[in-house]
Amino acid sequence: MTFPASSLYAANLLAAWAATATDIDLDTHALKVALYTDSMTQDPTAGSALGYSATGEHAATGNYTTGGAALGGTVTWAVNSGLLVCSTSAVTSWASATLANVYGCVIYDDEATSPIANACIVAVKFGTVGSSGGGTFTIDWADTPVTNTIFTIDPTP
Amino acid sequence: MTDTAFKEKIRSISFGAPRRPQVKVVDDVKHVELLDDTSGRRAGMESHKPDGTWDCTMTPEVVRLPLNKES
Repeated sequence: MTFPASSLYAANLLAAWAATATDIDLDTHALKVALYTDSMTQDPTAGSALGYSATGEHAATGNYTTGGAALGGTVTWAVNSGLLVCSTSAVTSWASATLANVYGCVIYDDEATSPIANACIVAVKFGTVGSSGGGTFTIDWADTPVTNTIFTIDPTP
Repeated sequence: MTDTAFKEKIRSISFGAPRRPQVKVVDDVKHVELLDDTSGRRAGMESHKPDGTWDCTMTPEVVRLPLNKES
């Protein structure tokens, strides 16, 4: 198993949209970002609810602790050019970090209890393997269509 | 022109040579561009400092979810 292609955790989001709403909350809950190697085993599109998992997560080292760090800034939802855009107001970084073999990250709701504890929201695969040698490891989210865009949903059939 | 040579020429015209990562040195810090393994687009940057440490900035592409569309 390796880090999957970037994808939203479909089952978790579908549960969030269902009539029996879950408590996934991108606005007020504490969201966290965890870094993973190619030993990650989750499949976000497998159809079952998935929560944070330490399997394949980068080991704690320096300023990186198991479970990851808080997603920087405030999460914002907006409609831009027909897309639903989820962005945040800051990049995410770890200072004095010695990290290796980082394939991607997972954003999860650290306060969610339903449909599963610490429900995962999105897996983001990096374009190549990342490493930092005692410096700062930063995830600089994309700046299109808006600054620090994490994911978009295209509702147009 | 042989069939193999023709195919190689077409390939070179279609895709060109692989892009090489840009390297810049600013104030003794060597900035090395990281390229996407698949697309060759910029995927991040490593900044190597004189003390031997280095920073890493990853710039992931936006995750896109098309609803009600055939893949």
